[in-house]
Amino acid sequence: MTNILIIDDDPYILNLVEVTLKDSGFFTYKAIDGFEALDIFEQTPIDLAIVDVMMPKMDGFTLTQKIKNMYHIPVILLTAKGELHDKEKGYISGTDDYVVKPFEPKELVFRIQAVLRRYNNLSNDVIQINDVKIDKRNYEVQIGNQRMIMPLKEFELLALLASRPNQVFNRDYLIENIWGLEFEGDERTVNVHIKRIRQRLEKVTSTIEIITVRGVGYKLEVAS
Amino acid sequence: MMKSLYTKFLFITLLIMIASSLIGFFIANSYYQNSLKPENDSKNMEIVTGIANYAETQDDLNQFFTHTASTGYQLLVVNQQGDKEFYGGQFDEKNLPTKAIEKVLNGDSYHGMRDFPKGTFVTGFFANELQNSVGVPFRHNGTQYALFLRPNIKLLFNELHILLGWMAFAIFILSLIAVLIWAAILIRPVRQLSHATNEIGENGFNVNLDIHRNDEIGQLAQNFKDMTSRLEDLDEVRKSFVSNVSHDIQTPLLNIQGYSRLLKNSTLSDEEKNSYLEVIQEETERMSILSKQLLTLSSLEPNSQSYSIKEINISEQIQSLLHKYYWLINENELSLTYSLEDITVKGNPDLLYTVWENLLTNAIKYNEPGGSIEIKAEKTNNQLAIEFTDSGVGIKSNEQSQIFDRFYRGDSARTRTNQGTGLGLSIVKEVIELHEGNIYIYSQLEKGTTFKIIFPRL
Repeated sequence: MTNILIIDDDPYILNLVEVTLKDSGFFTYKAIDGFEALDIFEQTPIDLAIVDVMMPKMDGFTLTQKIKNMYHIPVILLTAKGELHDKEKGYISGTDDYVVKPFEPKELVFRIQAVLRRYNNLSNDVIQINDVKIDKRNYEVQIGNQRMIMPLKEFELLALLASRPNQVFNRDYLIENIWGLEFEGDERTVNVHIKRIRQRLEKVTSTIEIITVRGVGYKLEVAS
Repeated sequence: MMKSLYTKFLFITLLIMIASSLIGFFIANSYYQNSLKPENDSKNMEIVTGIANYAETQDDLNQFFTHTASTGYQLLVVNQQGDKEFYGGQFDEKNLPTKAIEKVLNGDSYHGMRDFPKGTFVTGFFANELQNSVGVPFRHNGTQYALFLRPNIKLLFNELHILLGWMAFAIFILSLIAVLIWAAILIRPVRQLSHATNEIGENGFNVNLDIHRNDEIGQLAQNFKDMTSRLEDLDEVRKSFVSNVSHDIQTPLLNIQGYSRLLKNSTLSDEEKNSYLEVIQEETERMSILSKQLLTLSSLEPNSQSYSIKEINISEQIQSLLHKYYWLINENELSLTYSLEDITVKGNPDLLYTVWENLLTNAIKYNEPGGSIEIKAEKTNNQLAIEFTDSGVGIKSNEQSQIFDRFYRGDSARTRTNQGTGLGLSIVKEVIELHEGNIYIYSQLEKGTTFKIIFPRL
């Protein structure tokens, strides 16, 4: 279970974020200012913090800095539109991502998942095969000066295949590693994803190709 | 209080006349004082010398001077004993100093005209004073006399005075009348214009303005006509805009009202409840977008506010946009390829961000799962090109010319969405044109659409 601490002085936003995150399966804690947040940190193991920038007593940048100094966890900043120029300040304070208010609940959940995954996969950040660079830090595939972003599941599938080029992965292994054990879909889901990755890749490069190994699974082949 | 232009014209004309006559008098007076006075003096001195010379040869002085005076002179004859004898017209003031008489009797001449004191409001020429005369000595029958002379101005110039007076009066009256007539001619079109302005307030823009002139007033009238026709066009646009907006606000509100009323019914299944709530959600979202876009549109009105102009790095702006919309791209199972050269444009960051946001959300909205989006920013020698290409539903060729119109919406059956407000692309076009750019559309049904924006490179 992932524990997320939400810090915002606006009770409505606090509740909205809480409900959204609970629906997505996270466990949530709430704090209305920085001091309360630091108290909670001392009592509970927190996996990720969502911090509002504009807060009384202690602003979000200061709080982010304190959290980053004491705990090794990701932080996402909530900023109002006018504070966008504080982006740099946010990154200097150590934040991992920022979300501009007003935001879609789904947007926030997506960012949380992306940041958490990045934190759990700190090894092999970048995979380079020929001219193709797969960057796990920002979920981008780079070919020459072209960059591509794709749905997270497709990216992870590609990154997994690319982590061991020319090695065959069977479908069950892929499902377990990308979708998790509790995945209820069937192997066709994997097929659809592979098909889409192929279509996307063939537009931008010919140096790597995903090959179907009949009856077994898939492998990423590197053109010589 | 409105003062009529007539009274102003009259008053100012009177003022000008009085001022100019005063100034004229001063100029004439100073001219007389400085140049004419000595001349006048010496002229009269010649005359008086002639008379005196002639008098010396006469038998009857009395008769001679009476005669001479009647030709238009005022004379004073003083003998050695100081007896004074006046001939001709009366002096208004007999203020000749005794010293002057003694001097003349002693053989000097008297230049009273030349030495007459200067006065601002006194014209020496007309001062009928004994002091203002010329005098010479003469002898007659062994007696010393002094003769003082001054032309009889009244006698010589009386008719001229009256003539000049009448002339001045006539000039005065005629000028006034002429000014009034001219003012009337000038003021009539101004009144017409003012009347027409009132009419626009009351009866709308159909105003008949019958002014045909070649001067500034004619120009004013022409400008006025142009302005009313422009206002009329604007009014049309505004009316249709307001009716569109109110329709677009009413529709979602009615939907929200209707579906929330349905939701009160407790016998609904969960599925029904959810679908009704979804409608309400969509409609509130549409209204939220609409209000945002209306705000953007109002900021695009000329002179509505001076928006800040900065150097904007377009590729940075688009990258931060991609960061924000990554989740939506993920959710719609799309991929997005981008290659952005470093491009900077001078302009308003918020407005341009709105452009990219509109184009990207369109590309997402009208795409299919598994589809793709491509964004390119390139600079060539003389232009900057930014392209948004999607693999979506495409736009019919007969609709392509209309999609930039305000409130135009694509065929919603085909685009499977009622989310649009019909304002997004019109905002895009207006912002791009505000930045001196152009937007082009290339689209194929069921294949996809490309929006290409070109800025001239400065």
